[in-house]
This record gives sequence, C-alpha cells and structure tokens, in this order.
Amino acid sequence: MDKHSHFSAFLDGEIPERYSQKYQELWRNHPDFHGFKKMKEEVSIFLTSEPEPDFDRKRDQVFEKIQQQIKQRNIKIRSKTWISRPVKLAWAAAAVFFALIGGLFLGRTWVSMEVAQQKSEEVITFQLPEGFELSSAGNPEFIQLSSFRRRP
Amino acid sequence: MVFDKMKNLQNIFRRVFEENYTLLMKVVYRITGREDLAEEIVQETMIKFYERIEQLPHDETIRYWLLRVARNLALNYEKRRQRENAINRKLIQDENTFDSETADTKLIKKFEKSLVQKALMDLPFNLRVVLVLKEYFKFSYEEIGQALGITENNVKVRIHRARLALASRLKQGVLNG
Repeated sequence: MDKHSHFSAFLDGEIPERYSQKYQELWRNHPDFHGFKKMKEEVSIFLTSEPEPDFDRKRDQVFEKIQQQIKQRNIKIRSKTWISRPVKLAWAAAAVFFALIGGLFLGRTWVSMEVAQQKSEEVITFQLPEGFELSSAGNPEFIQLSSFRRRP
Repeated sequence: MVFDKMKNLQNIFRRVFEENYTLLMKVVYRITGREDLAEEIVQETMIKFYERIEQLPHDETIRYWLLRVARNLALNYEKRRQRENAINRKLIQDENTFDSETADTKLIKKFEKSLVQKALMDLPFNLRVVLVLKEYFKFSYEEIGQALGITENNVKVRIHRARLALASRLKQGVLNG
C-alpha cells in the first residue's frame, strides 16, 4: 500500500532536491506514476469542490463566549514559574541531602584513618588458631581478624 | 504594574485568537464535520492557551501547539462518537428499534449532507487530519509533523494512505450510494 508513497511526496514537492534530481526521471517513467498523479489531482479537486461555511461571521461572537467561559469557570493564568519552582526546590533538597551524605562519608573516612594511623603504630603479636592461615595479600598492618580463614 | 501585565497578556490573547481563529475553525470543521462542534473545540483550545499564556511562545509557532490541542480535543469527540455509534448499532440489532439514534448522531447526519465531509468522515481519524492539513492549508510535511508530534516520514506515509483511501471510496461510488 505504501510502495509509492514517494510519488505523493515528490508531487507535494517534499523530496529534497538532491534526491528528486536523481530519481525524478525514474519516477516519471514508472508505469504507475501518471495514474497516481491523476488520482491525486482528482482527490484535490473533490476536496475543494464545495464551498465551506463563512466562519469569520462568528469570530467576535466566539471571542465573547471564550471571555464569558473564562469568567464563569474562574480560569486563572498559570504562573510562568509553576513548574520551575518545584523543580528548583527538588534540586535544592537533593543538593543538601548529597552534601550531608558526603560530609558524613568524609568525616567517617577521616576518623577511620586517624584510628588506623594510631593502630598502625601498635605492635600486636598473636597466635593463629590451629588449622588457620593468613589469607590477606594487603598491608599486614591493616589485617583484620576477619581475614583469617580455615586452612583447606 | 500587575494591571499592565494583565493588560499586555489580554492583548496577546486577543492577537493570538485573531491570527489563528479561522485556521482552527476550518481545520476542526473538516476533521469533525460539524460547525457547532468546531466552535466548541476552538473555544476550549483558546481557553487552554489562556491558562498557559505565560508559559507558551506568542509568535507564529503557537499555531502548532493550538492545532495539536484542537486535534486532541477532536479525537476525544471522535472516540465518544464511535462508542455511541457502536451502542446504537447494538441497540438496533438487539431490540430492532430503528428510532434509537441519539440527537448527536442525527446532527452529524444533518451536517454530512456535504459529500466532501461525508468522504472525509469515512477516513480513519489519523489519515483525515493529515489530509486536511495538506490539502486545505498546504502545510509542509515538516509543519504537519510539528503540529501532530509525528515524524515527517510518518506524515508522508499517512498522506499517501489517505489519498489512496479517499480515491478508492470515490471509485467505488460509496459516496453516491
């Protein structure tokens, strides 16, 4: 059904020049082209074959009705910022939230580093339980007890 | 200050109405087939514009927004009409009552005396809208796409289908029957 939709577009002047120059000969010589062109013209002629009502005669009357409706239904003009205000508030709330989270995280890291620094100066000696081995490949100063696992 | 602003907005509203009234009336009349309904839809469209007058552009691009609103309102009407027609048909079948047409259906028939409108109303809604914008108002595919929120390629296919569908109805002589 849509195989000749480019005929429509071509006759409407909607094909970009670089394509229409390239293909117009091909299309014009197509066996369906002239039939389609005639059909398109018939449709256009048919659609404009009857006079349409004179809408302008009611123009002022319609405007009056709109004004009345606006008053009766108490229609208000929406503020320019009706959407941007809540969006701004949401952004502000999100910024505060992330600042708090960031502050907490930084504070916690800083305290952990302090503790780690203190602990690193302590020399701890311990005995591994029977059948356990050290599995951490990291800095031995930061090895925690959870890093021990049972020897397979 | 506030008074001046309101006065300015009122002037803009009047100007936009004046610039787009005829176009909207003609488009909606061709889509719905009824002048009284077109008037109602144009009123509602302009009221929606009034509500958002501060948020929307006031230049000529506003016509695409107005057309889209009018088209959506007309589509709502179309769906209601189809539902009512289906109910009417069922009533006629079930109860064999031939006088069960609603006032709305009778009104449509009155306006459908125009052969052109009858042919247009026979087309599916989406095809009808693009054909009207192209044939009566010579909108470009880009403008139709902008007004309806569809791609140019989609416009191209719909216009082609609309022409074929209308030509086929004319050929079959359905309109004469």
